[in-house]
Order: sequence, then structure tokens, then C-alpha cells
Amino acid sequence: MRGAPIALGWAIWRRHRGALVGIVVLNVISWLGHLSGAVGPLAGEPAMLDTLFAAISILTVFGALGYVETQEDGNIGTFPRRLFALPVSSFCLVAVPMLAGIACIELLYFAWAERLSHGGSTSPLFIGVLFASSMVFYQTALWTLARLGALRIVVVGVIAVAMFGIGFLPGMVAGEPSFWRTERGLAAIVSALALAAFVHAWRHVARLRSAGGVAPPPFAHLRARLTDALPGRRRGFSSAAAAQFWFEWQRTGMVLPLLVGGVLVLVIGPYSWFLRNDPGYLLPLVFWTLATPVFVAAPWGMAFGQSKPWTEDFSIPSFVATKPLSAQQLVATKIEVAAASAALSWLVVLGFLVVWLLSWADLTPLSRFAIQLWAFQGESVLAVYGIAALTVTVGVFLTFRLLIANLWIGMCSSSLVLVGSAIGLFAAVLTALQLDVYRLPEWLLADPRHVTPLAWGAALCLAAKHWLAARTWRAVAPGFLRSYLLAWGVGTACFVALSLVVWGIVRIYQPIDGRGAQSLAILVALLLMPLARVGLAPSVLAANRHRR
Amino acid sequence: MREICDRVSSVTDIVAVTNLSRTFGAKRALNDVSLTVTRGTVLGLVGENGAGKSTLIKHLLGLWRAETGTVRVFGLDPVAAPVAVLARVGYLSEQPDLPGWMRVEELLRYTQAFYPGWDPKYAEQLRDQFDLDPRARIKTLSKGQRAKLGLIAAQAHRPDLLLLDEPSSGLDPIVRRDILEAIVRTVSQEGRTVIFSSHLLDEVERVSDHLAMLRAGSLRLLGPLDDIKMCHRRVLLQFDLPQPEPPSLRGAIRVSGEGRSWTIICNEENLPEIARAPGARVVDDGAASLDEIFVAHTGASVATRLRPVA
Amino acid sequence: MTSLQLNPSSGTPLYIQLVAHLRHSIETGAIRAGEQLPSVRKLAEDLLINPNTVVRAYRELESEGILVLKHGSGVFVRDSVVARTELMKKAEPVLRSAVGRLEALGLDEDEIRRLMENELAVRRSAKQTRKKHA
Repeated sequence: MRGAPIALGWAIWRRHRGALVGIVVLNVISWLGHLSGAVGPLAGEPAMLDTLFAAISILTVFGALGYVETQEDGNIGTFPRRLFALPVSSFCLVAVPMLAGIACIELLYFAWAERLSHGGSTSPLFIGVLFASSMVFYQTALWTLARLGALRIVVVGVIAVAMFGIGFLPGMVAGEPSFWRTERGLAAIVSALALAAFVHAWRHVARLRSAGGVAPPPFAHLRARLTDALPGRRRGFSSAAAAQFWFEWQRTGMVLPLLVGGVLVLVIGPYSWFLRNDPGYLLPLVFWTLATPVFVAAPWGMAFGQSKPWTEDFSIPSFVATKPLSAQQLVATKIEVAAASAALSWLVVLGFLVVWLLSWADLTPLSRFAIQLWAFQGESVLAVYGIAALTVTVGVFLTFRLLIANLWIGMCSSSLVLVGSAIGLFAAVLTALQLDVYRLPEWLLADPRHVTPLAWGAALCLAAKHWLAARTWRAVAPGFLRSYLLAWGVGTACFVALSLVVWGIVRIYQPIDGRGAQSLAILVALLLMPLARVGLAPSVLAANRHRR
Repeated sequence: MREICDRVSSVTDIVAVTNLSRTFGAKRALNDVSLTVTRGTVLGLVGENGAGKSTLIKHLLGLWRAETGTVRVFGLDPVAAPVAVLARVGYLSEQPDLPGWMRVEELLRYTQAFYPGWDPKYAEQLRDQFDLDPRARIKTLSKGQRAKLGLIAAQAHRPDLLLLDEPSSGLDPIVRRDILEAIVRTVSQEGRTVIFSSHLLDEVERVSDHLAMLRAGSLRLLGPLDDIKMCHRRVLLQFDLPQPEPPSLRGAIRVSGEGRSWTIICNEENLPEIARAPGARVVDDGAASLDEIFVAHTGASVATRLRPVA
Repeated sequence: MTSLQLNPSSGTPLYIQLVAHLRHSIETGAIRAGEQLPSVRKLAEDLLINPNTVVRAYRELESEGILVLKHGSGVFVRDSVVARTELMKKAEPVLRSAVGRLEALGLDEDEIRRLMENELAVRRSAKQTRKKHA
């Protein structure tokens, strides 16, 4: 019996040695960098490279130590059933991967902690507990929610965001907090939840092994009756395009609204409740609510084009590839689903805002802001409503844009492109944070001459974008081109309008001179909607469908 | 459009593959394969695992682009004109990857939208015959039921070409009967063609009239099934002296046996020479079954019994 | 037809097995004279064999005189077939013993054939003379 946990642990190590060795290598590189003084922390902030490496390491650990294997009859990962034939207790089978995961993540945390948290006020123990609990929740979600298949990513994402939120909660509370909001209180709650999750996972695996499978979900009969009564597709489809839209919507369309809803209900909702008596937080929270779809759509959009998003399988399943549909129709359907998905997500946001602002929110800061706008827009109430509507429309288009901009990456047959683009995006975000992108507007406004090189750069990008677009859209049918150009035109117009409005507001607070900055704003707005990349998607999809 | 349709329908070669080759890394999956299938025939594609049957069928669907050589289905290139080709093809694979969340009736309605020739009454009749609950979700169906559902989706639009890629593997005899019935029904209707690959040689023998045998990517045998069976003979030779090594006889495709009795599978034209092998007497001589022909062409050319470990 | 078990992997081709089965059914009376046989399509679907096999079997039986293919109506058993097959069965042993006796006398194949044709020719001309005089 002594040998069994060691054997299981060795199997975990052996399976993921590549990833774990990579993490160690990253660690060593960063440590050497520190030692040689080449990479040093800048004035209390952790070095960008360190943050990048740490993030990659953490994500790799979570990805590698997710203890699931795909069964042959399905394509979702579940707890490895082949282990059930071994003379090992279920407790051991569950405890070993959990402990291995916790050990890895804690090792990683303590290796990176002193390099990352300079001057942070949160106690390292608290963060350590949070990391360990995250690993437990992650494994539990993967095993017990196998029924959900790919939607587990949604749950895992929400848990991750919640953990982040909990991590920041103690620092954000003003005044004398109750015990439950201190670090120790939260650590106690989270550890208790993690223990409960572990027990639940253990029970689930034991039942899977010896009691004939997974227990039916609660109220199974009721739910079965309900889903049977729900309209499955009873009517026929009017056309092939309509049928394909329905198919893609069922498969990937609901993910974004669900994710957005999850984040709003599980993170922003509780935050807004805890901070309801603190008027200073209202406007930032409204901003974050409006920003949620955009931030959720950014990672989701990277793999949106994939047939099985965020898996390592990039091929087009033969179920879709053998249908008499051209690559353009498939791409057009995906774009329609993206539009509907974005629209629905924003409906969720608006619904949440209505419920929140009308129920327990203190509306004073919001009304103050609205009155200011009203005053500056020539005392026109219509203008204020117009700006609100414009903001929401721009939000929808921004979400839409994030979903379809990288369609061609997901449809590509090579995983390197996706991984490369993910790392590139991450690096770009970190670089931006490192270079204090918040200070960019001040720098721009300080001296009008700063604007000129940026404006010329933007103009060049615009020209390159249109030249590329002309090349990639050559092979696409005129109908598809027309309908997309319409969407692109409306989106760009909204972006330009909003940039002008924002510029007008900024001008009021900061009276500066310079048409240059306004031109820059307009140029950036013109660059936002993807054109060339969308034209690239059909040919990439065709290349993936008819493999070379 | 009508002229194009007329031109295509006048082409009698439904499938024309010329000098097709394909490598996956170091492995040569298809090696200079050429074959044509005329309308109204059933082509049985046999070969060992990894011989290239699935790869060939996937080339016909356009899922693989031809590395060298050409592939034409209905006179069109399935990579250049996927919509025109796939609209007239019905495909059933070994593991039909039907989406588990869909219901049976939803899948049938979804598939119906793509094929103008879909016959809803025929589909309903088949669904009833296969006893599939229309409101059941696909993930609750067994493997055989999923195969049956895939079969309905593949043939309800009465395709001009039915492609079946090892459809019977792992299925019970009742489902296998349904698949054979679909094949026979398809070909007995005017102008429809079937290409199917299978390991079950007696099924292939029943319904095929042409045979293509692949070994390691190359086409070993191609032609009408009756001709192939008539060409191969099984000869039982009795030697005067026990042979320690398998006798080497010119023209023998496969030699098996031990001691004095040896079974030879050979081509009909080499039969007289083998019958005159020195020191041997022909004890039995008959037509070789497809099973023996298959083993002769795809197995080792010389079969010896395993000697027991001392 | 449901009792028919075709064995594709035995040495005999499928169509010959089908011919033998059909002939046996007709001779034993399971299929009566003048009865219609199932169409090519139906029989192929019932037996799960290639329709061409059924076509070959039907053609073979038609050339033997057991079946008659009527265009547009289908395949029928010839009305007079049972009498003829029974007759054929009765004739076989007669012929076998006669040929055996001729061989015992020392005649070879060509000579026996010549004798047979002579005898048939004599009978034919005698029949014709009887008709002329009648």
C-alpha cells in the first residue's frame, strides 16, 4: 500500500514532465536574471518578465495537473477510469492528484512570491491558502462537473475570477470590517469550502467506481420532464444557413452570455452589495460592469473560431466538414453567432444594471455624473440618453469585434498560432502595464508635439490594414463581403462617434489645443474593427478542412 | 447550372482516382493508387488496419487534399467544389461524431436542411424501423443506435454515392444487417453507387460486385469480384518427403503447412506449373475463398507454424 | 425465401447457390408452376446480396427453361416446368445405363454420339413421313 501513492505520483510526474521541466527552466532563467542584476524590479514593482513567467508557470501547472483523461466514447475528459481496476482505495486515488497539485502550486508560489509581491500588504499565508484552495476547487470542478463537458471552462473561469476577487477584498474594505472580511476570516471560509469540495470529490469518485456511475443530478426526474417539455427544434429549418446558425449557436453561442452572467452574479454582485454604503465605489463598479463583456470576450474570442474551443484539437469535425457548405458560409454563420452572442451578453449586462441600480444602489454619484453630462451637452436630456445608448452600442460592437477578430486563428490547423497569439497578447498587456499605460493620456496632452508620431503611425497602420484587406477579400464572394462591410461600417461609425464624444468631454476638463489629438482618436477608432483578418478566415478554414 | 448537371450526369465514372499518393510524415499511406468506379456498382474496399482504406475514402470527401495525382467525384474535384460534390454524397464513418447534445429528431431536421433531395417520409419510416426515440438525446444512445442514426442521415436524401467507412465495426449482427440492407437498397435503385470498406469479408462478398484490396497503401487487387475469385485457386500438395522448409514454388502467392502437406494459394495461370512440383502430388484443388485470398495477399507470403518453446 | 441461407465463403459462387435453391424449391413444389417469383430488387434486399447476383441466377434458370421473364410483369415459373423436370429426372438413369452398356461394348465417345444422332434423325424423318401421310 505504501508503494501505490508513490506510483500514482510518479505517473503524474511522468505524464507532465515536459511541462514541469519547462516551469523549472523558467524559474531558473528568472532567478539567474535577478542574480546577474540584468532584470531588476523597478521601484517596488515586479519586473514585467517575472510577471509573465509567473503567469505562464501558474497556468501551465493548472493545465498540466488537471487530472482527467478522455474516455473513448466521448470527447470530454473525466476522472481516469482505468485506475479503478487498481487495488488502491478511492481516497488515495483522489488525494494523490490533489496533493500533487497543491504541492506544485505552493512550490511555485513560494518560488515566485518574494520576486512578485514587493510591498504588498496581503499576508503570504492568505495568498498561499487561496492558491491551494483554487487547485482543490479546480480539480473538483473538473471531476464532478464532467457532465457539463466543455462548459467546465466557464465554471473554472468564474472560480478563478472569484478567487481574484476574494484576494483583493480585504484590501478594498474601508473602515472596521467584520471578522469575515479580514484575511484570516476569509482564509478560514475558503479552507472550509476547499475541504468540503475535497470530500465531495472523494464521494463522487467513490460512487463513480463502485456504485455504478454518477448519481443522477438533483431533481433529475423534474429536470428531465422540463427539458423534454422545452421546445427542442420542432419546426424544420428554412435554409441550410439557418440550420447551421442554430447548430453553432447551440454549441458556442451561449458561452459568452453565461460567462458574463456568472461574473456579474458571482463577483460584481456581491461586491456591489458589500460596498453599497460606500458612494465612491459606485462609478468604478458601473464601469467594471460595462467592461465585463469586453474582458470576458477577449480570451474567449481567441479560440472562438475553433470547433472545440480551448482544446488541443484544431481539426474540423467530419460532422461539419462533410456537409455541403462552403467555407464562406461556415465563416458567415460564425460571425452571425458572434453578433447574437455579443448582443445577448449586453442584454444580460443591462438587465443586471437595471436590477442593481434600482434595488440597492446609491444613485447619487451616477446622477451627479449625468447632470454634468447634461450640462455640458447643451442641457439636452436627449444627448445624455444618446451618449448612454452610444456607449452600449459601442460595447456591443467591441465585444463583437473581440469575438471575430481572431476567427482565423481558431480555424487554423496549427495550434502554435493560437498559443503564440495568446502569449503575444499576454506579453502585450503586461508590457502596457509595465510602461504605465495609464500615464499615456497625460503624456499626450502635455505636449501637442507628442501626438504627431503616434498619429502618423496610426495612419500608416490604417493604410496597411486596408491594403491587406483588399488582398484577402479578393477571394471572397460579393454577398458575404457586402453584409460584412455593412457591419464593419456601422461599427466603425459608432466607434468614431464615441471617440468624438469622449474627446469633447475630455476637452472640457482639459482645455488643450491640437487637432492632432482628435485625429489620433479618430484614426484609432477607424482601426478597431477587423477587416483583413475576417477576409482571411474562409481561406484558412478551407485549408483546414481540406488538409494538405 | 442545368447544363453542368447534365454534363455531370452523363459521366459514367462516378469516382476516378489517378495516381494518388499520400504520406503522413515518414509513413506512406497511399502509394500510387488508381481506380475508377462506374455508376450502379458496389465497390468493396478491403485491407488490413492501416492499409489506407479510410485515407482513400477521406480523399473522396475532400477531407484530404491530393498530394500527387487527381481525385474526381462526379467529374469534380471535391476540394475545389465541395458543395457540389457533398450534396450528392452520403457518408457514414466508423465512429460517427454526432453531437451528443442533439436530439434524434433535431439531427434529422438539421440534416434535412442541407439536402434538397431529402425524403422526410423515407427518413421517418427508417427511424420507425430502427426504433429510435425522436426525443432521445444522442449521448444517451448506444453505439449501434448511433450507427443506425448515422445511416438514416446518410441515405435519407437518396445520395448518388454512398460512402461507408468500416460502418459495421463493433456492431451487433442486427445493425450489420441494416447496413447491408441500405447498401443493397441504394444500388438497386437506378444509378446509385456504393463504396464501402470493411473487415468482414463475408459481408463484402455478399453485396459487392467489384473488389479493391489495399495493402500498405498499394492496390494489390482490383476488379470484378467474380473474376478475382475465379482467378485464385487453393491447391493441397502432398510431398513424398517431409519438407523442413516451406517449398519455394514459382507463382505461389502463399504457402502454408508443415511436414508433407502444404496448402498453396496461387493464380490460376500458375496452377499447372505448381501441380508439377517435383516430389509432390495434388491432393485437393479448389476455388479459394475471399478470406484465403485476403490472407494470401496481405499476410506474410510464407506462413509457418510457431515452434513450441523448448 | 426466408429459409435460404447463402454462404458467401464456400467454394460455390453465390448465384449458383441461389440457382440450386430455386430449382429445388420448384421441384419440390414449394414454388408452384405459374407462380410469380419476387422481383430482382426485392429478392436482393431480402437476401442482402447484390442485385446482379439475382439477375444472373434468374437468367441461368431462364436458359434452363425453368423460369420465364415477362417484360413489365415479372419473373414467373414456367407452367409446364414440373412435369418436365420430373421427366428429366426419370430420363437421367435411363440414359446413364444405356451409355454405360454402350461403353461396355467397347464404343468410344464419338461413336456413341454418332449413334445417338443417327437414331434421333431416323425418328425425326419417320415422324415427318407420318405427318405427310396423315
